[in-house]
Amino acid sequence: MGVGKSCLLHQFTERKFMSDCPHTIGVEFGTRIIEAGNQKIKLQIWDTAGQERFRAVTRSYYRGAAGALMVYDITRRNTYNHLSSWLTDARNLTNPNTVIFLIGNKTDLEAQREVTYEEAKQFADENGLLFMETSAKSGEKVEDAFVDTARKIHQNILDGSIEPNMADNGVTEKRDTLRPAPPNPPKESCSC
Amino acid sequence: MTSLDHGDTAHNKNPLNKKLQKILNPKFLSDIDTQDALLALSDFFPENNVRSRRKLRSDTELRGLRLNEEFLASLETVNSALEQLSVEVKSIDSCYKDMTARLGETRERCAEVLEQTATLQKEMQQVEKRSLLLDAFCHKFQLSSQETQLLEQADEVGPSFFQALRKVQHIHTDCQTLIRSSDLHVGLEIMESMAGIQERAYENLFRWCQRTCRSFTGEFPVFTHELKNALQIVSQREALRVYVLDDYVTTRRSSLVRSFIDSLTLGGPGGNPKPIEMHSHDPVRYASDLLGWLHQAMASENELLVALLLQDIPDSVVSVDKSEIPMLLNRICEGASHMVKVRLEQILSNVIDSMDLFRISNNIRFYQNVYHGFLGDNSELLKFVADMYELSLKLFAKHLNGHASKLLESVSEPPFDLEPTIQFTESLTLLRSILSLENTSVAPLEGNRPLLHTIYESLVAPLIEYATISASLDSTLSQAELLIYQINCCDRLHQGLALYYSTGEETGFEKLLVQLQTHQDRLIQEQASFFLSKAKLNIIHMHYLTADKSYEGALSLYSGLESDSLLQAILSLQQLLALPDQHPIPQLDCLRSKKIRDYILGSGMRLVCDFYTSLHSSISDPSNGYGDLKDKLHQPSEIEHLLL
Repeated sequence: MGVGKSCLLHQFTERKFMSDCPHTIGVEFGTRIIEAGNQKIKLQIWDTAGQERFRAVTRSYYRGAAGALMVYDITRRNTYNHLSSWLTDARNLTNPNTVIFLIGNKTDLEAQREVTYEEAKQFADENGLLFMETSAKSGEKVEDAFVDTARKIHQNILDGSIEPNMADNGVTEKRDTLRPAPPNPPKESCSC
Repeated sequence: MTSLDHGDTAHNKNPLNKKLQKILNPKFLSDIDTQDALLALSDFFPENNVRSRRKLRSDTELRGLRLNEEFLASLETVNSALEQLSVEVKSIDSCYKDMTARLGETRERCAEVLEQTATLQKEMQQVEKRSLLLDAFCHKFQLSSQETQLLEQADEVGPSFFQALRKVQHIHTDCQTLIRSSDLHVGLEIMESMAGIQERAYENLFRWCQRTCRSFTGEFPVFTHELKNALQIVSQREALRVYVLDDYVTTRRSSLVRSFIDSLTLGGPGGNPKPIEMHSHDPVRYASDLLGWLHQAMASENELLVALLLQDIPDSVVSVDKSEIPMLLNRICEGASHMVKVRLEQILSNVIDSMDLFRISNNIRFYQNVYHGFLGDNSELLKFVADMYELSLKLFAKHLNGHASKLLESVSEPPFDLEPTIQFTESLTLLRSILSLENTSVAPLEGNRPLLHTIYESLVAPLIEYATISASLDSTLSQAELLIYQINCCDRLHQGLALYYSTGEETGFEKLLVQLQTHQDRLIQEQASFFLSKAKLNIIHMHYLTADKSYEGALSLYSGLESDSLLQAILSLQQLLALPDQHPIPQLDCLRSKKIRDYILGSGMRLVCDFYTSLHSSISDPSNGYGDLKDKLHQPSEIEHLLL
């Protein structure tokens, strides 16, 4: 059982919960167009396998990411404990402007919660990450997580801290109308 | 007076009365003429004296004369005026006559003019009608100069362009009706001109599409509604469509190559993430980065192609062949994939570590599946990936073969404990690590026949060979020991492979099983003979088997199967039954696997029991002449109970 990365993606792109989701083999991907600041933004989302054995493959997908969603399972503390190693990977393999969003998934299982919101929030604050708790099953906050990531990236472009169209930063701008085309935040996560 | 008159009507008839009346009521007093005469008289008769009265007559005559003279003079003036008037009237009359004549003339002429006017007016109405018709016709069958210009020369393509083009097409269609219904000549002419305009418009649109497609050099171009529309229209001419898509493909291909070079050499902003080439010393990572990059590029380009060719196309006129997307995608990725290929070949040939080579090989296989999802069968790119995979397998096989030939060059004798030798174990460890890595990597081993075959041919088969050669080196070993050693080796191998070995695939692994089974069968025989010889039944067994086949007559008369010999053997068997420790071959303990050990022993004893059962029934048969020997025998079931 994973932390729910593929389910989050499925919920975001199809607005459906995928029960019996198999382990991701290697890497998969999905797209969706959202609006931010009156502009259409196409998100290209790479869903990487969480299992350690795929790491040799998945780490190649940090390159070119404008944002990364790092997911743990609030009902399993060990997934939370792995965060720092995933964060190290993310920091080493992405560019410094990559927006990293911490996601605590499975809020629908509140009764089995092992990681408190406050604790994770503190971890996120200490490491300069955005943070949100979601439920891929109920769909709660899933939209927000992705859209907020995209907004943050968009904001970075407007502020000038991300230069679109440069190699490997994952953001491209439509030349004539200042439309940042797809930032592709790959999701990556702590495996179980 | 009137009242008086009224009152005296009767008196009126009296003449006197009349006279009186006349005097009393002189009429002249009321007569105006008299009054005027008196008034005029007062002018020249101021005083009523004698002189005056005498002169009155002459005065009056004078006056009358003068008045007449004046009157005459006045009349003469009048007369002359009248004469003049008469002259003028005459001239007027002549003028009038003249005019009348002219009028008459004019009237005659006017009639003509009017007639003409009427005709003209009628004509004009017709002309106007025609003009309206012509206008309507022109509107329906001609383009405005603006539209023509738009179609033939516009640099930019917008909604008005498409509107004009649609009109051209409508006109063209309408002309067919026109030809059928009325004017063949005009219809054909318009059709021809429209066809010309349409052709030039297509040409123009085509050039525009080309220009637009050539501008898609960025990483993620955005397609306008116009472009999709234009492409749809251009697609009606297959050749033009091919050219436009060619341009698109060429542009995207070079864009992809450029950004690949950037990723290879520049990396992200400020060199973070690091350029891919920075990891070229780590072959596994480098290969993975290259293949992963290609995957991401392929996915993005696929998205773009779908957006360009399939999504929300207005007034779709050309049915899009979905199968062309993989073909285009393949061509777009060609440039970058070639670069990947060159690099992969390079690293593959330089990898030293077999495990690294194997990891890369697995990654290539994983991406072979991934790319296949985008490109389908029969794509050049997949062929290259397949080539790469084959190459990696070949190199991997070469590594393994190198290892195997080294292994077979230094075969050593079986150790004392009959366990596999150190060299054998080392190779086995390599095999296990390969397989366990395979198990944890991205590409499933199951169904991967070429890989399993390679592993069998290059590692498993040499190991089996090693065991055989090794066993033959020590001539002092008994047959049983030899078998035990080989079973140990094969079993270790089998244990290592069992998890990954899938039946029904001709990968060579089944040969190992056959080998193992042969060794085991032979060892079972060994075990049975060992027991029989221990029980001194071996000679009996031999004779019995020979006799069973050819001898006809009482068995007790057969040499070696006499009652005495049998009795002795059976006694020693009964002794042996009490000593179960003595039953197995002593070296059987050297068999690593308890399961095999039990199997060998069990099957060996089963053979013994079968022989015993057969022997027992022969002895019990009175025709064999053993007499009451059978009473001294255990029942076969008892023996089975003790041995099995």
